[in-house]
Amino acid sequence: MKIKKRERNPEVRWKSVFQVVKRSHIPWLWVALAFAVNLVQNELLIRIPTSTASLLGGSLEASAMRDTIFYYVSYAVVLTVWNLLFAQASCLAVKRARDNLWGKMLRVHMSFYDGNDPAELMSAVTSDISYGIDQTTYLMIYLIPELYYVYRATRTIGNYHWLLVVGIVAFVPIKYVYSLIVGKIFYKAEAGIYEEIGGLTGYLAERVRNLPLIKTFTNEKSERENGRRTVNKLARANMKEVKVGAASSAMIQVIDFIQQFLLIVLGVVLLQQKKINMTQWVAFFLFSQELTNTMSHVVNEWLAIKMVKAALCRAAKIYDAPEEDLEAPGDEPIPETGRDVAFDSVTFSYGDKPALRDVSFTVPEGQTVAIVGLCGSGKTTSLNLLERFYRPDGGQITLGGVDIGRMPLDAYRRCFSYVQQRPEIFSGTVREALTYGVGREVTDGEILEAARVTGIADYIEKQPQGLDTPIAPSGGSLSGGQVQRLVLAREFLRGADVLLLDEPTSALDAQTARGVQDAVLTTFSGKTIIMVTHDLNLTRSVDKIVVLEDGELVGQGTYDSLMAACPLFGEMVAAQAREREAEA
Amino acid sequence: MKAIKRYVNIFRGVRLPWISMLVLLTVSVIEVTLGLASVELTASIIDASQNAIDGQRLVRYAVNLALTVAATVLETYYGGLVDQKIGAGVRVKIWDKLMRLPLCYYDTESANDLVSRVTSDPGSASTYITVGISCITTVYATVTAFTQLFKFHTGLATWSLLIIPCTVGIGAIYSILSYHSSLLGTRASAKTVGYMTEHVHNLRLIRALGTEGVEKDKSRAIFKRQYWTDLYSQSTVGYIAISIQALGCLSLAISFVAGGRMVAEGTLSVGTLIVFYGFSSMVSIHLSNLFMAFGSIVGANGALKKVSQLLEQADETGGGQAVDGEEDIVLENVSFAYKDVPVLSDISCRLPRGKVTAIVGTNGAGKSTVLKLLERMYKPDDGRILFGDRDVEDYSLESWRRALAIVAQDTPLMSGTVRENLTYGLDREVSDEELYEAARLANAYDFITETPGGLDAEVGPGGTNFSGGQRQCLAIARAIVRAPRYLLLDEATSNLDAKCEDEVSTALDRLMEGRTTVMIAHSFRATLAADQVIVMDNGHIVGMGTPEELLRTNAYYQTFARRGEKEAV
Repeated sequence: MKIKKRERNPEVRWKSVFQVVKRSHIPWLWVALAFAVNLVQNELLIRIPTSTASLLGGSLEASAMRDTIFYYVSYAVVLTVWNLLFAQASCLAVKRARDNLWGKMLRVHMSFYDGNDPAELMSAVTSDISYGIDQTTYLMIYLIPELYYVYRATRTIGNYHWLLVVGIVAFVPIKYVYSLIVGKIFYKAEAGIYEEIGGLTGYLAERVRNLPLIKTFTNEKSERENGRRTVNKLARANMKEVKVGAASSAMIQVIDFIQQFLLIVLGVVLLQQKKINMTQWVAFFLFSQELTNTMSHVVNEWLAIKMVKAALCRAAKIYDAPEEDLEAPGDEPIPETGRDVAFDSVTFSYGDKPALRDVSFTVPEGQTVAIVGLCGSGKTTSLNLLERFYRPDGGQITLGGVDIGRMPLDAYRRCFSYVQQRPEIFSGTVREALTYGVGREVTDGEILEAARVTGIADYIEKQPQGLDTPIAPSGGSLSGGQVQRLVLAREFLRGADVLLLDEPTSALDAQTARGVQDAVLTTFSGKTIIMVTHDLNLTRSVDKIVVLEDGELVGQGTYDSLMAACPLFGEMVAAQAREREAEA
Repeated sequence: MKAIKRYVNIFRGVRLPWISMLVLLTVSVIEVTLGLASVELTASIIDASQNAIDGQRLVRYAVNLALTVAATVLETYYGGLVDQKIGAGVRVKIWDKLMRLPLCYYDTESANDLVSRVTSDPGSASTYITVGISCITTVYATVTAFTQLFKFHTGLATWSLLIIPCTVGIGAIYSILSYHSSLLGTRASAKTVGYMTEHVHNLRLIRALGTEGVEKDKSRAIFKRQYWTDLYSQSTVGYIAISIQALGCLSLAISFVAGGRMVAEGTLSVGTLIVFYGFSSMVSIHLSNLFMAFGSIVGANGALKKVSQLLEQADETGGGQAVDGEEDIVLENVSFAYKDVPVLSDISCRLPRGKVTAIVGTNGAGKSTVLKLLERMYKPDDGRILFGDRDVEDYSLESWRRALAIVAQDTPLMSGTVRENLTYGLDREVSDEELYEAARLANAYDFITETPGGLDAEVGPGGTNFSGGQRQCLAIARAIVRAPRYLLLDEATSNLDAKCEDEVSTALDRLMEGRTTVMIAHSFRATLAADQVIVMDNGHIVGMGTPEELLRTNAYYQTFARRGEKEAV
């Protein structure tokens, strides 16, 4: 269903799809082996009808029987080998393609992810790849041997009488055109049905996810009715699909039936005119079924290629995206000392949306600087640029006087800790969460020490499994404050020199926020701290405040100096005070 | 045996479409019969020992072919019909059950799992019935084909019986393989999808921490596991193809090795041998169909097990008494543990009617659990909750919950119109005037009327087309329309920025007017308006009284207050 929807996605060139296949590192050796065995298999398939025909003709001598049985048994053996080889080739191809695509995704420039839905990217690696690459290996292994079979079988039949070949081949274009037309009609019908089914399933899924709400509002009765109605609608939509499917298979079967019948009539006529003998007739009869099947198969494979293209289009988009150059050694080492961070006339826009204009400020090493401003003023963009997720369009950012773009990326990023509003932590054990990205062996003592500093040690010690306590995806049962403290402990262990805080406490209730705030200050005292915040109370104690408005710097200095000199800052402080009053 | 009983239970109460099932059975039997008849016809066409082909037989062959096409199409149609009707019945049954389950069940299963109980699993259940029907026809076909074989030649047919034990053996191995591989497959792909979901959403973190290498290794291990299970399940599919081929070899060998000798001896005609071969290939085809059917039943096993487990859960229970009037709610020595972790221990307190009670405490103190117990989403493990002087369990759940409304920090909206959301769970008609009035009180009037469509504007899934503050105001308007006697607030303003918080708070104040309210408060200011404050710590009540009293006596409340003061500078 997803694949069909994607077909509407325009603008994927064949070249990009070939790129995907090329970069997937197909296991060529296995593919070649499976290909070879498949050729042998088709060769046997050609011999079986002739020898069976002679048996059916009543020539039951030992040699004919031995030959036939030999062909059958070898066919079974070859089929076994082929099955194993094909499974190995395609599964390995899928695995390698996944490895490579995910590897690529880990390197793609962050800006790529702004415009793309994570759920779609996910299915690029999971379902798209398994369908697309599996089909690709299948086509590589199957297509040529099948054509070989068609060629050999037609030649054998041609030896009996040329009209027989005409009878079989004449149907190929008819079938092709026919399946195109039928396919188009049914495709349209099915697309509508799939959309309907998707919508109805989505409806049920939403209700299930919100069951607690249904219970709270004691709406079970009417939801039961809704559910019944939706289920019935769903059954009707599915039934439509069954009908369309039955109708389309009926159409195809009818044409198969006509073909088979006409071929038999043709054979019988030739037989009566003594143009072919009885054994040839039987062999032709046996061939005709396998041969028409194979021919339809080849025609269908043409359609399958289109589906492969559709399935791999997201992967193609990912491979086309620009990469970050992680390992490329920048020519400048990270400065050892004097690591002041400076923005020097930095200008940046997302596409054609300007985000920062000519911003300059300095964060001296070991000091705490707050960046404040209204929504969309460019606060978070500054942090993104500093972490080199984007490059400034103009101006430069320096660390210790050196342009950050010229330092090796991975070493550079290791200088920073980044804590944001929605704390990010991976599932696993507490120990894994705390040592994630630390990149060195850490003793339990060290981990517990970090936990103590950030105030999460109590929680860990209360758990029966201690550091091995499992954490569910996205924190699970942990509260926002607890996850944030785990993140702080992790960053403490990483020991980076510069701490970037992006409203780390805004999702927490006031009390927890204070706690986390205090933990930050005690944990990272002495480090350079750059924080983005909308809580102006926090800015009273910082060394410097940078005020941004619509991407421009409108003031910098201490709290008191800004109160005197920066009207915007004064307004913001006043507004916040009013809100606090109003709340009381 | 127990398993069978379980599965029968799934279909209990589901109206089976007997007529369609009967039609399906008849059509399949006709199709099989036509198939058997075509064996003889085909044989007569390809019997190369004769000199010509009988024109009449050719016509019969064509008629047979045409009828087979018709029967196959009908079989597809009725197969689908039966599948859908049974699937819908089971789906409705599961749906109803979900509506009756106690909330604690939702803690044991992830939302995604529950979703698949409703979406994909019913399909597996109906597979059981359709596969069952095709088993009947297959058995019929096999028996008829064997009967024919014996009619043609007893000696030769006896040899053909060899096919049966081989098929049984192959089928047994296949069921094991297919069960095992589907089990492993589900697990591996759950792992792959789980890993991808988590990591695709956190790519930025990976970048920031420079753990690309670590993730590369982790993903390799997971993809490798996926590869092994893929290989396994592909080989299982291949195994079937091979088995069919091997059975074909066997029937060929039997027919021609044993039959060939008989022809040479003159006890069998070539024509009969060909018909015989046709039937014996047919037997092997039908038998292999049979074990493929077994395979698909086995594959559906996992899903059915989960469905039957769900259906066996006990329903949510409550008494039959209707809630009438307004009383104090009293918690009496209530204890509660969540998955063996104690959350509340021996809580006793009185929530006086018409008054505002605020609960404060650190994260994890058990505040939200108190609200859940008041909603009767869970039952206390010990102690009881009284309404006046009667146990709340005596009251019907429906009337109890109708008397309450809850506004939490992330009260969800549902897809539908604004109107549907505001009247959600009400069984009375609500006029537009009333809705607008509620919206006005909840500070939602302006943005509702500014949204194109107004009350009939569509709300996206989860309400994502409204901002956090707007969603909260809509949730408050919904509570106002509901006109509850009791109001439960769970940090209803904590996720909002200062400006929204202001709007939402004034809306809440209007909602609380004259209502018994229990609120979990996160700011000191909010508790000042309360008649009673309960301080909780670690599952215990450590202080209770008016704000003034607690300011004098309770250390936690004092710090809470100091922080609040600092905040409001």
